[in-house]
Amino acid sequence: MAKHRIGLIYAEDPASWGSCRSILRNLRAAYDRLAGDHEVIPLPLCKARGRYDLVYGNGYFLEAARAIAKKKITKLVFLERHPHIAPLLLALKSVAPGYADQLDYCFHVYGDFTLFPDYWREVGEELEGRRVSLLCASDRQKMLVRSMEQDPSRAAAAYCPFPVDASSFEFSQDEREHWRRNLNVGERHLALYTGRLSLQKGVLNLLSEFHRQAESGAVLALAGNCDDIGGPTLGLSLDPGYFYQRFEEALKALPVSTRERVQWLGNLRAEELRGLYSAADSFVSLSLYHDEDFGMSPAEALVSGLPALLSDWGGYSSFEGADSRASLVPVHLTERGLALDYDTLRPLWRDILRREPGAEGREAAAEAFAKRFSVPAVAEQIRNLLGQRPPAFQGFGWKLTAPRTKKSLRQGLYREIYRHYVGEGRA
Amino acid sequence: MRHPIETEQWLLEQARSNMLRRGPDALPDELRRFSKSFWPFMEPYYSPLKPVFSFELPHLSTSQSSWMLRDGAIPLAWFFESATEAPFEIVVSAALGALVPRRWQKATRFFEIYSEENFHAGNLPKNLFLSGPVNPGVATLEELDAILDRAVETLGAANLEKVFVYSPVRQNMYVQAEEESFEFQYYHRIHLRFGKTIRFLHWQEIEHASFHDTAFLDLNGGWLYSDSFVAHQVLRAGGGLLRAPSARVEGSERVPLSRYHGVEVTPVPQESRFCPFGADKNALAFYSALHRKTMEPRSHIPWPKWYEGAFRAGQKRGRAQFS
Repeated sequence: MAKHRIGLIYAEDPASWGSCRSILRNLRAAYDRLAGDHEVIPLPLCKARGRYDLVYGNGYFLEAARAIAKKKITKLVFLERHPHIAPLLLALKSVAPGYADQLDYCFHVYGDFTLFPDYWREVGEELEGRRVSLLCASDRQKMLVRSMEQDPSRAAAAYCPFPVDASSFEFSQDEREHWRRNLNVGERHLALYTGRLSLQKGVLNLLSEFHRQAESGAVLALAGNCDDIGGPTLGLSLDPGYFYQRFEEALKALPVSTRERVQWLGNLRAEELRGLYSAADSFVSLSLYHDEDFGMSPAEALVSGLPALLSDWGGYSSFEGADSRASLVPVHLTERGLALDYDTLRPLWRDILRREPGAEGREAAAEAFAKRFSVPAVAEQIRNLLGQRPPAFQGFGWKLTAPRTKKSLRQGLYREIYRHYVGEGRA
Repeated sequence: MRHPIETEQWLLEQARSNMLRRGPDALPDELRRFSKSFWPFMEPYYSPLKPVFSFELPHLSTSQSSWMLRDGAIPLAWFFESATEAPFEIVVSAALGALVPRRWQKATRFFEIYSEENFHAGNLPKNLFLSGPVNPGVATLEELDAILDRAVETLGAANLEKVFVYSPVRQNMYVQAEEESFEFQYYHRIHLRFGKTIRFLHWQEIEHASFHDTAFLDLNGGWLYSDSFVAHQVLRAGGGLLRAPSARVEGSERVPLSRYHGVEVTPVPQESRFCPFGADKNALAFYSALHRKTMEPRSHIPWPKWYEGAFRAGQKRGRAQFS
């Protein structure tokens, strides 16, 4: 296999999203593991200087482009969308046009791909005819991105999951006992949700469905903070501060006997989360978030060996597999919008909540999951992908920038795009 | 049995969210432009107390019986000057209690922002978050100095790991600094006190971040607004206020706005607070500054136009008319 000089582009200033910070850290760790076979060269860029450049000139990007050319990078890997990619590509073309044409370009695409169509159109225009890989974190995201390409038969979109740092979420019996004592769970089943509490994450549904499982006597712990991201893809907006009030209202509306079994823990630090995953007996997320290209929270739960009940939506579907403890609830794309299949959800969750609390089978489950999603496992997938030369990029098609509509969910472009997230677009 | 369609539920939530915060009427462009010129500090947010600025009231629905006024001293003074009767209840910043006239006393309560965690000399934070628009109408350099000095005295600049600064320049057509070097002097004053620990933040870095172990300090003189949207953003992300914990006032009510903070509403004390011109030196200084700022030649805020006749009984102008 040819030895590459891999340049890793990422923002040196950390992202505000916790999951994006984890993804970047883990991706860098995965690329570091290629160091024996390839030369891996970090090329951090400053977001603030990039933003300044976009307004006042292109000095910073020109400087970065010169550095890339000077280091004789052969594969330019963009670990995230920041700082803006298009001006860097433009600068590269102007500094070293012949060199820019010879380079291989590799992008780790995130769930916000559909939220920034103009951004990607601009990038696409710069890359037409060059060798490009668009690495998508799940099979369904790959299908979605592929459907936006000009020529899906020579698609640049390929599957490469985000790595999960398995060592940070190893099961610990001591932590389990400590946290269960703190949460006063006793011998009851502890179901866990981690992540942001927001509209599209389905936490209001989660509360009412948990109430329907009252017979189980289980405890539900929620770790995360409320946010007011409504549904940008659908043009839905919530006023800042609204969702917290709505969530509290939903909690208060539960009968006392259920409410007493719901514990909202707020934002937790990484080491606290690890303890909580150890303490829990199962994980649950009914998210229908339109940026759900992967699902770092369920991935962390699964790598700690927990069984998980997940919506069969977007990236969550990738967690299913022969050795997986993920159970998926079908999602339908109806004329009136997205709908969970409650007839499947309820008995499935009942069975999970009835399981005896305990750590049995967790080690084997964690190991099986890590074989597909841990940092070393993903590093191997990246190694294989780097061994293949991607086809010449044909650019993005009309679907990327066409106006979205929520008026007709059945016939509109919305359906055309998101049918991939419910598995309808599977070849 | 018909199961819910999630997308429909989201649409319902959006409708509830937009309906409960304000009436359906849009504000005139001029008022929107004014608030936007201080973006995001005067941005609206959702709360059961219905937070608004008093100059918006003439354009909002009459069906509400109570409003929380986010006003600073200047708009609040204009409001009381204009509103000669009290047809609805208001909640105003406790720091501006001296402005409330007798005729509004029974219809007024005070608010103060509270946070679950308070930082002070006995509970030092790891980080400090400084925020306020760079505009002399919000805080003059002297006011900035006083706020920063108090913080340094309480926390000790050397104890801080990071000092986040979100102070975008918001010099605008309404209020401008006399000196061209105002922005430079503003940032220089922050730099002098906190030096290398400073990290300037962009709004996008604040929106979804977590601010645990971070004390929030509002660089606000309290003249234009008393309730900053940025403060809520940082406090709801786990930040705490820079103040010593105090006992709750009798009869107070806490309205949580997030898991980590909220607004404490207290009844107006029935004492001499409403006679601020007595022997109270601070009140005199406050009124003198208020008078000076209202007459400020470089301020081009058309307060009289925004309030004139809006709250007069019996007139049919504006939506919040008394009837």
